[in-house]
Amino acid sequence: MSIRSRIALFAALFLGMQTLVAEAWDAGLSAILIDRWTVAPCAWLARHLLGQADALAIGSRVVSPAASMNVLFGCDGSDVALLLVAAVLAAPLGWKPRVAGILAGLLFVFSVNQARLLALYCSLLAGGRWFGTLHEVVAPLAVVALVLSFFLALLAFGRPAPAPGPSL
Amino acid sequence: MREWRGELRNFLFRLFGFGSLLVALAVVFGEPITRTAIPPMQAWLELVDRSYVSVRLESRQEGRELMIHREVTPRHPHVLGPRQRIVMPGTLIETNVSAGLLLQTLVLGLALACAWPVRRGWREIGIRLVVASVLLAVAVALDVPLLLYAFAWNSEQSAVDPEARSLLVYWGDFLQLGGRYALAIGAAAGATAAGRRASGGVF
Repeated sequence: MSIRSRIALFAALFLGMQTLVAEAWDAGLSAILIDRWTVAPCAWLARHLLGQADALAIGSRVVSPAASMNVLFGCDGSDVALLLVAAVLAAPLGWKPRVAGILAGLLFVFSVNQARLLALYCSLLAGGRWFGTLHEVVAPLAVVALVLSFFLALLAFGRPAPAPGPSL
Repeated sequence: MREWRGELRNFLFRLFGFGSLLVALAVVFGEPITRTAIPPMQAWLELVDRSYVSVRLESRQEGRELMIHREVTPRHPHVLGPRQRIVMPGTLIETNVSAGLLLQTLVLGLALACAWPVRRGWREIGIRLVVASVLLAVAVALDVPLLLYAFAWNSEQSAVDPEARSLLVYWGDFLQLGGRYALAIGAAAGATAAGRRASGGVF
């Protein structure tokens, strides 16, 4: 498959998955992705790692007497997850690294996003002065750089070995 | 394999270096960059937004974030929803978009364009930066102004017909669900390919 075909496949997969997610969002997906898979673990981590014993997950919010943070559409890591899954599906990889890459990649995106949310929560605990910069400039760059590195590493390690040439 | 690892490590170091520099520049010059972007954004919105007229477009500090604030009024009377509610010019609609969205695309696209390995020296980097700047300007033009337009449209539409979807709302969803990153990465990839080609290499 040529590089152009792979780019076209990536774009088609990305747009297709995006449409599915956007359509399912109001039909209950937001409650699963944000409330259950993003906010609840973030509140748990805030309680156990940051010592915020009162931090609670209430709907799409992490709430404590010290700070409250609302997690919105696009803040759950699904944006980079969709990009990564589409890129892995379109990449020149064998099926084993492809499946492993998607599973490990989703776990990686989840972890990176939780770290991002915890950093944002810490910035709120510290008064919120750097929240805007962290939220809009630093965190997106860090998340994309990390996920891109994961993808490039997967490409480097998961590429099918070239067929052995004729021996002399 | 070892070569790949080395190249990946160097790429990450450069990405970290250029990224930190660009983030610092965005923090220091974020406000003037946003203010400079307002007049071309206004001109672009006048061209593409056939539904509303801008009453006000400005950057303003709201709480902890720098926002781009737009107030619009319908350009002409229009009919909305199944109950055919007529919206007349004069009705004011306010929308806000974080100024960070504008900087985010620029910082991400430029950091990637600078960090990607260079094969043919300074000429390639120069071409890459020029092409990246043009492509990222296009990406920004398709992002923040159209989001402001989409939010105004959506605030009217969702009040009378929440089920209805429009191309603008789809575009907003595309940007929020990774499309903004895809545009920035695409601009950086395009600039890298152009730089390599123009400096005599093969992509």
